[in-house]
Amino acid sequence: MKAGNSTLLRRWDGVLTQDLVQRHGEFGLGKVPERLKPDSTTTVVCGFCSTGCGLNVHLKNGQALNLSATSDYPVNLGMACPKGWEALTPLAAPDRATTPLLRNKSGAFEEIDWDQAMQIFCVRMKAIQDQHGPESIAFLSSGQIVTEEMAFLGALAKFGMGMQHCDSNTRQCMATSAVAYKQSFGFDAPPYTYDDFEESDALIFIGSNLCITHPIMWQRVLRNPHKPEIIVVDPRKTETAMAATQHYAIKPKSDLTLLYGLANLLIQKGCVSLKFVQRHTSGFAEFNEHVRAFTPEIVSEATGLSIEQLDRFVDTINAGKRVSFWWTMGVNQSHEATRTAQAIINLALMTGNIGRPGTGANSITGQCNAMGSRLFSNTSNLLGGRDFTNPEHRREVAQILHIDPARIPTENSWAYDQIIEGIANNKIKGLWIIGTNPNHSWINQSRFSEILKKLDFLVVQDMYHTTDTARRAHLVLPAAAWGEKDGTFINSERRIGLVKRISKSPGQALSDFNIFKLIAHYWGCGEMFSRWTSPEAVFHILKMLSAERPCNFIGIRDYHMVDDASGIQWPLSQPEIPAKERRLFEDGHFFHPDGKAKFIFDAPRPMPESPCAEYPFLLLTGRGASAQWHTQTRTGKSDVLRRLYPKSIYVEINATDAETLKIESEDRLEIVSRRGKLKAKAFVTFSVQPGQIFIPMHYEETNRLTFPAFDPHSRQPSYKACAVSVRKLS
Amino acid sequence: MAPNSERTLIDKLLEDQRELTAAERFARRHSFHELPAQAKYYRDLIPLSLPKKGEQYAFEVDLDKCSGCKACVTACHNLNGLAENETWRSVGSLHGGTAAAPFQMTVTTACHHCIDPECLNGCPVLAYEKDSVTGIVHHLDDQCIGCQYCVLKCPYEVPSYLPKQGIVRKCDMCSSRLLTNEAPACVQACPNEAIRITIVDQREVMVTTCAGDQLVPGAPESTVSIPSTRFRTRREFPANTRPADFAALHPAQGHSPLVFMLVLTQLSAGMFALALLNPSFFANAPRDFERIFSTSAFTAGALGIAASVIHLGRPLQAWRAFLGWRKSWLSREVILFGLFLNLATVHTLSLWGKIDAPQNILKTVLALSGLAAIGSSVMVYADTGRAFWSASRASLRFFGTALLLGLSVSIALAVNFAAAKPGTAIFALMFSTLAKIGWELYSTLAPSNEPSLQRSTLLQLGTLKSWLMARSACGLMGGLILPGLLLFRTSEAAVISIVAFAFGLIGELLERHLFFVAVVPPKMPGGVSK
Repeated sequence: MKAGNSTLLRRWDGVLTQDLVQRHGEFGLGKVPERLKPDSTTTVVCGFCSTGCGLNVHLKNGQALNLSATSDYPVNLGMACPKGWEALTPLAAPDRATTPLLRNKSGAFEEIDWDQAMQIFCVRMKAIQDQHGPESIAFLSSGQIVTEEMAFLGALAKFGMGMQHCDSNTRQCMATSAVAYKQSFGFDAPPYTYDDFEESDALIFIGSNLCITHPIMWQRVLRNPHKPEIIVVDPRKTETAMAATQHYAIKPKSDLTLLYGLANLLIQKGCVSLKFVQRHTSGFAEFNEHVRAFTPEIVSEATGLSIEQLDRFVDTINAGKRVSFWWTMGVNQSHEATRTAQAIINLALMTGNIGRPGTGANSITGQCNAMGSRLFSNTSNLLGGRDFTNPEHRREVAQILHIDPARIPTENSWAYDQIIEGIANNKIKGLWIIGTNPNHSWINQSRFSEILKKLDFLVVQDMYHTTDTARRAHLVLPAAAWGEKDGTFINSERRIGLVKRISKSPGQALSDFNIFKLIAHYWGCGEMFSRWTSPEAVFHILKMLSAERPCNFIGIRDYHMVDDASGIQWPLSQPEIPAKERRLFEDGHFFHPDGKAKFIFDAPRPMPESPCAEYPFLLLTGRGASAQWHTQTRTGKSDVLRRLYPKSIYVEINATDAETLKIESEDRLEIVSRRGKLKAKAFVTFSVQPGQIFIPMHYEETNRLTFPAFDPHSRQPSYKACAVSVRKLS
Repeated sequence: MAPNSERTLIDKLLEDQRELTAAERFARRHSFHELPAQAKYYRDLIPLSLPKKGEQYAFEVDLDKCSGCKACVTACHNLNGLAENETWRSVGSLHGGTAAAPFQMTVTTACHHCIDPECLNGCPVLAYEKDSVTGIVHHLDDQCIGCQYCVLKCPYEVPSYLPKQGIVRKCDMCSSRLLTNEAPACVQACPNEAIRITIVDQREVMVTTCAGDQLVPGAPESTVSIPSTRFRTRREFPANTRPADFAALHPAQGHSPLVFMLVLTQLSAGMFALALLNPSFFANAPRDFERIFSTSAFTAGALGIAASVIHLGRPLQAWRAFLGWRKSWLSREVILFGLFLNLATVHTLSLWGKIDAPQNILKTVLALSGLAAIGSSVMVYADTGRAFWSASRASLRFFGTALLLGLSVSIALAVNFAAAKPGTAIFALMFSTLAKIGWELYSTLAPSNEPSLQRSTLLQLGTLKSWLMARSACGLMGGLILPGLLLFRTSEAAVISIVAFAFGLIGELLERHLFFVAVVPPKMPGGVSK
């Protein structure tokens, strides 16, 4: 600004002006607000989604003041989405849980101390086990906590407390990809690195609105210098579909048929990479036989695409030298999700689009540590991506952990939905929920809410005492948040990144890690975890557990090495800082014993609840805005983020349907399914197709409507298809 | 498990929880002088040189790259250290097309650093400065008195008011960053390089901004302030492209102090004008009557002016409000009302014999200054360019209030203090009440081609219906029914006339509230119903 001098009449400077004055921030920063000038900075991996961005936290006396995106972090290259920029704000929310809370006789919460809380926790859980058997207590955990905590929780619950059934909210987002990869590749191993977004000449997004769900990955797509074809397969004309070069708005849940049809056309047109298929895969002949039935005519009928569109799709795949296939929740949350994901994997395998730059069958993960959960939560897999039913695996784990192999369950855990059914059938009487909000997020919410009443003891461990689920608890344990504890996350591209304590937790809140330590002590199995002294100590145990496994990261020396390298992708067997971006299967060697990837397929099945005369619309759900995260327990705490999305629930409806029903934008609508109803504001648009409506998942009401269908292999809920009716309220 | 050791472990863990060691363990050290690490990403997104004479900096947005992630909004918030709920950038969206070819686009927008900034033109205290070199429109936070007139003047909802600080603030294109070749926060933070700073030729922007031009569909007309921002796209906007919040109708912000200020000053000015027009009014009255009348008028005016000061975020700085008189109608209003109130003081004091003044000239000048001040009030709102506040519409309301309440209070005073029943005045009141309320209802219900007026109508017949009905009912009660009763009854005339005035006053206050809340301000496209 022109250096104006203040006069009596015109004040160019003063306290109000000084409030926004900027100074050089040092530490490689540009200018920062003077009152927020740091005395040091450090990079922490973001705790929202699986992109795993590096956030440069501006510190003063060790306490976070502000943050920006880390310029040199290989994931996000100096960028962050609104959630990342606002990551510190939810820590300061007034409704943080600051002390253990016990529901008293009159139904109100009463503050108690940790000693009381621990005594009550152990006495009541043990009493339930005594009465109903050891497997009558269970936990539901989260993809939002660090790997070290997941492993501690899983080991404590299963080896220490004798639990049999445990699961995590990663069931809601990533179970499908995990199962699909495991069956197809022999290990849950997303093969890509983000550089592949930049290296492809054709990118195919199936059920992914990357612009909104993973804006920082979309950044990489736009950095692609090869003028790539961008294909989006999505029933909705999403932001990503608008930015694509080809958008295929298929009928909902016709994706498996489409993918088989594409495979058939590729074979018919002679586009199969026979050499790759022969050397590195098994089951192609049967697959070939299977897809023959998916003629263009049949596929066109099922998907609503024209035969010309199918041809163009296939020609684009064939023309590409480096074709990458990407999928997110549109695939994972389906009644036949695993086979759909595998149908995508099959396309990559048959065209040889794997193991090279710009290729791959790539699942874009949801939560910040879904990948850590998949390997180390000790829920559906034994630690290190192992199998509970495999005696050799149990022996390895027992040896590394110095425990009696007999303490390791020999059977698989129930999945999330089965645990809930277990509560309904009085098999599970005690439930411990950590860092997740199923009373909002679980499918067919009203029934879940009813079932919770059957529990004798519900413990919720969370950073807020106000979540829809915490309000239902008998006992609330106050947890430290992201940024208030140490540990590691694993992102979508298998990058292990560091989370650090850069802010003090409020009141008596303890990190989940410390809570587990306390419970181990009070439960009487503290001895078993005597080596689990700190997150970093556990990290070294996890390294041991990863040795000899595909996810091996034995080469990582310590947290400092992770920090210095700006995150390290697994595998890493040598203690040297590796290349910044690495992909799997460059040697064509997969993790099945024969070294080959498998073609896996099944006949498509109709969606379990399709529209009918009474419920003529199909409800699609999904992410609404990039400023919203899941059930909004955190993003809802930021004034700025709240300004970036509609305050109240709304429903997108096609303009043609709206005309028929005499609905205009802003009208109040009632949406009814066989399971529940809600009221929402109308938003009339052509972005959804006729006969379909869309409601963002972040609003508390949405899951009252959803239909509880599950993929039989991954047990992941199918959130994106149920029949509803739409009525205009006067 | 001895209780002692348990307590020790809890204490130990709580202690551990409070230690902040990340800075020591992992802090990165950088030398002071090196370029910001982020520079490599934005080097090509900012100009290498300062604008030449006749040029200025401008935002340029590539709409085809904006993916609607809104990182720009949050980065601006953090890197500028804005207040908790303060944002200087916003992202809206446009929708349209057909079932076969749906269209949507996200639009990031901030201050357009206009060639002819309306905020600057309207500011009564010269708290805006268009930088002579960069063309950046700066806001001088310490100069601001918090009148919020710029909020009404800006067609793009840019200046935003912070009640805690009592001032407005706005985007300054991170001018202190640009000064050191650092990109503005939004430019630095856009993952898609959708925002850049360019240099534009101010004359060229002016010449190429034609009537009907908009920055994007649904945006205000560019001729109002000649925004410098360029929005680029290779896509065609379908004819039916509309902002996502097109159908959202929300009452605008009410300003109760201004409601009182307008109504009371108009009442006051109306009384003095009537007194001048009708000298016989006082001829037959007792000696004291004119004193009571003038004192009442003066009091109303003074209360009105006081209310306007309450409206300010920083009332103590209000004395500077005359500074903008060259351009700002608000400054002119302040000056004219200042004159009016001073004359009213002199006049009233002289009636009480405290000072001597030439009565006839004084009365004339006083009445004329009052009317001129009302005229300036009209222009304050008309100058915002909002159709609902056009000069003709605001005149009918403001001068109508002066007439209505001037008559009503004159009648009440005459009945109570002069034992008179001024029949002509009562008829005039009844007639003008019918005319004003009739016009208000007609202008609300009559079909209009102007979209913002259509929306004002929808608002008044929707959310604001009860206000409209209450306004009409009070107005008719105070200006028609009770005065009518007054014509026939003499026994309770005193009470009736006072009640009639009270109803009339409430009616006008409600009318003025509607004046503020039923206006539909122009704005850039917003998101799905906020």
